[in-house]
Amino acid sequence: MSDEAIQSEDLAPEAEEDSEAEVPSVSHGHVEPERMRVWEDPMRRLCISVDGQEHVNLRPRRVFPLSSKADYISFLNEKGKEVALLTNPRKLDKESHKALEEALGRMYYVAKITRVDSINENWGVSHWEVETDRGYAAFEVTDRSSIRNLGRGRMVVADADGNRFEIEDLSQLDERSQALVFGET
Amino acid sequence: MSEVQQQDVEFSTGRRIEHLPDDVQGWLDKTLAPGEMMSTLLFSDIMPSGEFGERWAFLTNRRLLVLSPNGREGDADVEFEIPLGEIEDAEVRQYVGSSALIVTGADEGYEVARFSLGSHQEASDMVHCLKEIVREHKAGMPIEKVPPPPPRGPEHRCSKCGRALSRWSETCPYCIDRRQILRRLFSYLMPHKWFALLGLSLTLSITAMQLVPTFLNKLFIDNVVMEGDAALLPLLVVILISVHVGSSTLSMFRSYVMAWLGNRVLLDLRIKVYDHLQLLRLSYYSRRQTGRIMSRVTGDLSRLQYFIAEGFQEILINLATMVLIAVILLAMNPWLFLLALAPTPIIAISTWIFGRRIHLIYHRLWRRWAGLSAILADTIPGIRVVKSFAQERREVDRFSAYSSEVFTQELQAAKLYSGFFPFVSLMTALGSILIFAVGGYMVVRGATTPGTLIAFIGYLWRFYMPVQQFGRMNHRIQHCVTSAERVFEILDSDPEPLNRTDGVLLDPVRGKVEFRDVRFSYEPGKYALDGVSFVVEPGEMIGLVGPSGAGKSTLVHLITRFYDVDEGKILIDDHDIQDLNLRPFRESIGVVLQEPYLFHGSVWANIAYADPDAAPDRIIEAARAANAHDFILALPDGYDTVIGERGQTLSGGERQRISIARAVLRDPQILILDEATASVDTETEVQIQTAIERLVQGRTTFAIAHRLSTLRKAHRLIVLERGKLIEIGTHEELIETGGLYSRLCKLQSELSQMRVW
Repeated sequence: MSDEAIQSEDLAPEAEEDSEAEVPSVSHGHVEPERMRVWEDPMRRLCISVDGQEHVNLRPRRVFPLSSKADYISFLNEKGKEVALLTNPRKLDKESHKALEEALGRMYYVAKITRVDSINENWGVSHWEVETDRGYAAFEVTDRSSIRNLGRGRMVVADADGNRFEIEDLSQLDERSQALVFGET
Repeated sequence: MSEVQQQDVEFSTGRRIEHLPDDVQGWLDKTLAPGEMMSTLLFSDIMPSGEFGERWAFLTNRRLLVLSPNGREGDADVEFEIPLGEIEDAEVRQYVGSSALIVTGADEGYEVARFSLGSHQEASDMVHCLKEIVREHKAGMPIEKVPPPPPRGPEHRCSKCGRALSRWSETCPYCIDRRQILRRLFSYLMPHKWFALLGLSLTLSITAMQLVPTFLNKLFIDNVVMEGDAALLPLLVVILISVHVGSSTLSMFRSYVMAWLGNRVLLDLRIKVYDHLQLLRLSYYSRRQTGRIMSRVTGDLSRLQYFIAEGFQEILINLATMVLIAVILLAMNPWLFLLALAPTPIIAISTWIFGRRIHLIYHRLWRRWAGLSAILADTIPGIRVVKSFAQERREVDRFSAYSSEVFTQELQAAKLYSGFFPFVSLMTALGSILIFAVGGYMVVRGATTPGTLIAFIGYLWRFYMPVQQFGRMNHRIQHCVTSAERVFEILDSDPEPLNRTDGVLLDPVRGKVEFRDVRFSYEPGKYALDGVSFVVEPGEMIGLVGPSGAGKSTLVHLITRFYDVDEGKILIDDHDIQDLNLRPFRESIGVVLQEPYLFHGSVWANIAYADPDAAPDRIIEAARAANAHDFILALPDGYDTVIGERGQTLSGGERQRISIARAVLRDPQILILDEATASVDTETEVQIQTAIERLVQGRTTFAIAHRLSTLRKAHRLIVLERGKLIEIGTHEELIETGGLYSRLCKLQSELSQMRVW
């Protein structure tokens, strides 16, 4: 038996105060979409079932949210432990897919910048005014490292509070926007 | 609609809502029932559809309700409401890039509001109140008034204007005088003002002297050549010689004076910056790459050298020269002078445009350079990892990618340069040619003398020079102002109050440590410590246990006051840690880290780091207590052996024992052992263990250890999990309770059995 197996078994709390479900301590590991169902319960909690076994109150997490190396979704329970790793969410049944997409949309609230109106930098803080797919936004960037270049024109900007804005492809923005953003990188 | 948007902008840039906007107050007045009172509010900027939009959530003494504008003037809809009695639970669900306030009733949950992270604090306050209400309600108490929100942690925004503060600065640049940056630079010159004045007067005299020969040219042509006044010639020659000899001699002095001044001021500033860096809070360092800080201390400062010593003077001299020559030219021929002014606006305007563009490029260039040195600072210390994974090629590629970026930006700058300066030269040339043509015509007509024209053209070149110089200087100044900004950012960052002496002086520190409901977060919204309370008596040894990320290291960082708590209090000997004189308090703390950092120097100097004047006997005694004496003597130069930059010639256990000796020598009242034995083999561990046991005698000790066996001497154990204190008590008590600690113990004894096999 490997060390790892021992640890994950033993570190999981034995006496769960939540009487909700008999939470198994081990992750289902990679789960193909055919084995999984996803829904939101009336209490506004994300639930899944894997091979008929139900899990309540989960947090969905993209495994590679930025690099999109693989379209994997991990489900974490309240203790932050993985319950299952879904390998191909697109292949879920329609209802599940919809519920998952909604949950993910909430989990990753990232407005996509469609136009940059102005960027003024002063004293290490740059003030951005942008048009996004969710409307107009103005925000402040306090740190150079908050602007991440993901390659192929894709960028993610985090503002002073941690809100995120994405540029899907810089080269697709108008020239003025491009020039403004370019000045910041 | 535009009005709503305008407001939206204001709040999404995070202005604190001191007073409710009038229209929102109006909605509220309309909606609330008589006797209903508002408690806390939450501005939500994300609509249920996911678009940006305006929503307000209010907690009153009767219900939780959400109002949304419905487009009609002064009117709003109640989008959601729930009576307080029906609420079972509330939480802020934190997502990536936004959060939501979730309230659950008996059998249904509601997403009350969504908001970007700027409102996170308000939402937490509201949840805090809601939970309090639920607790009271369940206890059968009637809901009469709503509890006040908890006190707030520090803000990352300016308290005056609400603008976000730069990550590394805690002063708001908008709320200080903008001209201050120049005044401040100037202030570094003030201690050497006599030298500066000397340099300035030398420069002015040289400039004035250099104007003389051109005037002599006029006399030479008009009086000697044209009129044949031979007697004047020797006089002119003598004057010329003395002017040149004089200005050369003065130049010599000037160069030296200026060099002295520049270096001297830089020396002061460099020391000042380094001094300040040492005083800065740890949070300053944890947020930035070492390479970038280093480039500020070296690169940016040298750029300031030019500005402080030469820049100010050059501006003055150029101005003086321009005025002086303008007067001379006007006196010689006002009409020609007006003509000569023609290219000046073109030169001035193009210089201004050039300055703006070059500033942008320089800014970017600076960032590229900083990135380049950050790579160096990243990979050179990590060279072992690079080599062991055979990633040299990739690191070289990464470096060359950055280098080519620098190259591209340098070329951009060069492109601007190479276009700009020839253009300006052409303009000035055209100006002189104009004078040449018009003036020549005037000479032929007898309106002026040839000597005057020659002198005029000579002076004209000298007049255009400062104009061009201003162009050149403009970018240099820009360059320096950006550097100055960055240097001052360091100087403006809030230092630790190490030098404060008006606080409480504990002499001696007894070592009682008390945490009262301490909360601390590195990032807003994510508590690293969440409501931790305990009391530790003087001399007690406390073992800190818990999974990684549980907050153990954070807890000891708070005891050393590397960081200040967000909420709650830490009391040392019954005094708030914030009221203590920091330096003497720190001096009473000894720290032994998992990865001991040894400075370049002798073994002796490393042990005596906190007290370089320690008597040799005390050093030896400390080394003995740390089980280090014997191996130190086995080193070729004994206590004088130089240990490398990171003590590389010693093993991990040996380095650890030197760092323990360092702590022993200090004789601290409070001792912190952060995984002191984690990175050594079992045999060494035993040696270190005995050294530590000697060390902890009579001192309040906090020991973090994953290997629980190292904590067997601990009087009590504190078990942390995800920022919360979940268990506290003696080993036996905790085993009895059968919680996390007892499980960890069981697990580790199983592991150690496996090891024996």
